[in-house]
Amino acid sequence: MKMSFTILGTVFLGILCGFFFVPESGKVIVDNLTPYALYILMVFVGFDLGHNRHVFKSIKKLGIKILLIPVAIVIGSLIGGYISGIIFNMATNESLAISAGLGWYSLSGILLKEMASAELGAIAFLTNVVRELIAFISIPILAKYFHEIVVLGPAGATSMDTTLPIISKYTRSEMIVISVLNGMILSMLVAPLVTFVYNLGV
Amino acid sequence: MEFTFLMFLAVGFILGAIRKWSEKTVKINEKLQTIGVIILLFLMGLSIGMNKNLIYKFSEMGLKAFIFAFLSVLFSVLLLILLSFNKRRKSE
Repeated sequence: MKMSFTILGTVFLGILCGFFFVPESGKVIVDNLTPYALYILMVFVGFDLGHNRHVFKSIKKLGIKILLIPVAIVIGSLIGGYISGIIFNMATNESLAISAGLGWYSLSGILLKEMASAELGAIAFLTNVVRELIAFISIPILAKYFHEIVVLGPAGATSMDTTLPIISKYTRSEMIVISVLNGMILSMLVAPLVTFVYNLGV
Repeated sequence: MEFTFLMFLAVGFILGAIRKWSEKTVKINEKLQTIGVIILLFLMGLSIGMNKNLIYKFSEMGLKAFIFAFLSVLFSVLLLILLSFNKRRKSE
């Protein structure tokens, strides 16, 4: 719980600083810095994995069942989108397309801006930004009370990059491999899935 | 770009696997991860805050975005909890 507050506090502090103190010209620097921070983190996460390479054996035991994780996340996300659509009285194909972003905000935002409208693109972008924020805050809590695979639910497609360091911190090393695999499968699914559900005749 | 991170993951993996590291080195790596996560979260916050357009849109459709995100997360988590029960039963 304490860590979730630290995470929330850090992101919030960043948002405040970004809004009030960083000049327009600083944007380029921050946008260029973020991927490098992530890359350096990836080296640390990889080190963890290399040091615990026995994990591959225990993952082999899980086998094909690992593939059920991304399937569950796609179905769960679409159910969530469907119900949200009913709440806000939106067309079903639009509400499904928003949740089909699976947390990858830049891609789902652009896709829906091109296919549909600037407004739908903006909602998809925001929704998936919020999903990532929820992931940051909820992963430490979920890891404590449930089976480790449950932390992948909020993370969605981001479990291979932005949320991976947090997942790695709160779960055993086995989860690094499962996370990357899950994130890769979901990331590859985002574009076809958004396109497919948006063009559904519903 | 999306898969460049795999390269860095691989570099770390090789470094970690190349020899048996001392407990101390592993602890240092853990510390660095924690510091790195905090820096990353701050940077992500910065890039959200700097995007004034995003912040204004948020006041306009933040509730909608929150409900969509929350329900998607909720049902993904519920299905994964079901799946995890299934896994546990089979492994016992």
